[in-house]
Amino acid sequence: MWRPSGIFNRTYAEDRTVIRTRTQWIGLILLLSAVVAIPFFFANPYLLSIIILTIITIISLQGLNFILGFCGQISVGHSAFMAIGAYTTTILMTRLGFPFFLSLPCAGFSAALIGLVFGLPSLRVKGFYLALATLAAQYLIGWYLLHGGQLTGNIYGLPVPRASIAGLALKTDRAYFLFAMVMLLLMSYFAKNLEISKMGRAFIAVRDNDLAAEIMGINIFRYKLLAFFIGSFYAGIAGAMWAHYLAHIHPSHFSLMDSIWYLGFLVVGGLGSAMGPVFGGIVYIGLKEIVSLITPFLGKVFPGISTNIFSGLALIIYALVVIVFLLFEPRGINRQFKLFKAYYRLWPFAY
Amino acid sequence: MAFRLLTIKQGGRVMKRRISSRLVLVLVAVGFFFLAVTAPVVLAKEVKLGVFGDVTGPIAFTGQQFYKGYTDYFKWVEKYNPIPGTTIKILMEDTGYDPKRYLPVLKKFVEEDISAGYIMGTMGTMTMEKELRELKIPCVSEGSGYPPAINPPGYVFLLRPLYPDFLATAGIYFMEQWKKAGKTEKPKLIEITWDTPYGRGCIDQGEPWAKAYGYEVLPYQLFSGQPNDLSTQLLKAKNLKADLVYSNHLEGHQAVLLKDAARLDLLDKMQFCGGSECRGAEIIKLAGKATEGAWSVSHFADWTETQNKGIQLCMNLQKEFRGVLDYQTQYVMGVIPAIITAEAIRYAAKTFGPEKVSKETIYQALTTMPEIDMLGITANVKFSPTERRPYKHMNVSKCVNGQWVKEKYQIEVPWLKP
Repeated sequence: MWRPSGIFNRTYAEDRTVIRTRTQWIGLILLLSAVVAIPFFFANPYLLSIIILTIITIISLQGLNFILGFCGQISVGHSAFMAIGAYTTTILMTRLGFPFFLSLPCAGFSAALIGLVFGLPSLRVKGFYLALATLAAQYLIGWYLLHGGQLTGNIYGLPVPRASIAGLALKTDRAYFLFAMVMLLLMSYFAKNLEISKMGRAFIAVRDNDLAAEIMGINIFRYKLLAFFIGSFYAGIAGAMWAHYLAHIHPSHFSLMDSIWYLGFLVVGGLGSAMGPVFGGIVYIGLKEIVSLITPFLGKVFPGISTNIFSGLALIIYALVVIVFLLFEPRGINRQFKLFKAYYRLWPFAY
Repeated sequence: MAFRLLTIKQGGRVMKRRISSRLVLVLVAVGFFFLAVTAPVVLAKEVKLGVFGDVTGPIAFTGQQFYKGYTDYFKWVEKYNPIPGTTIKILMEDTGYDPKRYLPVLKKFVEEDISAGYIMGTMGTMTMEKELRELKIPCVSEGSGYPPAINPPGYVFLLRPLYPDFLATAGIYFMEQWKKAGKTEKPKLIEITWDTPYGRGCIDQGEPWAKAYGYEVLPYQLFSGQPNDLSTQLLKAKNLKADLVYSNHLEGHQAVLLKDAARLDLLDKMQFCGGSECRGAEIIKLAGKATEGAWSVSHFADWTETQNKGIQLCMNLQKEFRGVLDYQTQYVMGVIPAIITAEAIRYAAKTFGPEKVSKETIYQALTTMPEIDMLGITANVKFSPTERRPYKHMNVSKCVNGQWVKEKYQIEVPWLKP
């Protein structure tokens, strides 16, 4: 890690501190002020809506980052864990009358427990076989939600009540944006701290070489399951936020394709880093918007080309982006960001 | 009184021309006349319509045809039958049948201050139905797979009855034929259908209705994904001696079903009938002769009905705005929401004045206006303050000599409700 000149780690506490310099503090305050100001100065509901969806995606990717990025366990059922969170909060609020502030953590914990169950195969298998085991989660959960009768709304899904905190309904995009931003900050804070904690280091040890980690005394079973638990907790929270924002949920909102693209865009953002999910989420949702803006335009410019070609443009572009990153920058945008930071700190010197 | 208008130098003398006040008055009057003539064009109310276009993604092909039909009809309206005092502006955003896209696009349309919208499928309807109620934006929708949308006072106006009514249409017509043939035992109905909300949309309400109507209902058979073999489901139907096989899926699925039925020699033993998406040129191309004799329940006219005014209109639209005649059932389906929306705007403009055309007045028009003449494409449309389904009559088509022709018109359906 590159630090500004003169900043040394003399204690463990210093080593674990994220914000160290006055410039960083000023930067953070400016960033937070800008974030709070966004809905008031850019009161464009379309943009706010895109930002909210991006925040939800980032939280979900942060969860996947624990499983894949830090602990090296693959999960192809992440979107299904989001569904568990979404359905839990809805059912708790509509059937048992839970308030939103209680149903939200419950959504996280229920997804975490289900994630734990589907993470159990990680104790015996890894890689491709683990991917298949988690793929089963995607299908089983999806099937249950679609055939779950009145509890899950069957094929019609469930209407979701609006979220409210202390009697204030988060009905407007502005209010929901602020709520989502607070959630993102909390989850990011936790993620960053976990990364530099004992647990985070244990995750990385298991990822890099589980045999060596076990020899060092790390209980790899415990940490693999913990990764699934925490990762799915994040997914559950993201799913609940998604449900309350859309006000309606359906199994098709949480598809296998989403799970796969989450994996792909986590690679694009940067695996195993706190900033990776942020970049991944922004690129994923941003690309989706850009493609949907240019597709009708391309159809008009090239009327001779079958419109069916453009209809798959989004998938082609996603796949291209993921392939390009896998080939040329497998450590993702985050690495380029770090290089830029180092360059900026050393400038005008080369090293 | 006179005004000096201009001064001309002529041969060293200055000649002053004067103009009378009468001439000034005439000029002013002419000016006002031109203003009055041009005023309606300048001040015409622009009515913005938002199209949630599923023109990419899993239903891209269908969505693109819907959009062509929709826009062509409005071009025709603007050219030949304009709505006095208004101009129509269509805004289209690609939603890709992706639930993540609908809400941002809706927000964008709200900013654009759209007065009405068009939703191309059940996914969009499900995702936005609650929000549309809150925003009070009336939208016509193809999303018949989401029954809660019909609960008043919803802002989603369906373009066809719910899917169970499609099953009921097939059931009513088949029973008619059954009794005509003098058979007295209960006919056996089986559903072989796609395991999706769309495919299963007719089971929950359709099967209890069928039992009550006199059918013996056999256990439904589901399949998922894009199958290339449906023998297992068909053999089940064969073993249970099904008489009517009903399916709610797409052309490709129905083609596989019919081809497998032909291979298993079942085409003469049971009647195959699909929903409105089990019809069109594609299925005949894919399943060939196996399509002969198959039925399809539909809510709109066939392309082969060249005497039908609505179909004639669709053909003219294609000739004029596309330059070619292209047999696409979905194109016709795209014209249907355009007719309904255009007529609602026309009614709102007539009743409340063109300048008052808005989402509120279009909603009022949709819920209170008299029957909309659909030129025979569908049954005439009539919504009400408490009803969001457009009509109670549907048709059954049959594949004869490689073409879909109307088998039975205007079957009254029960309007099954969840």
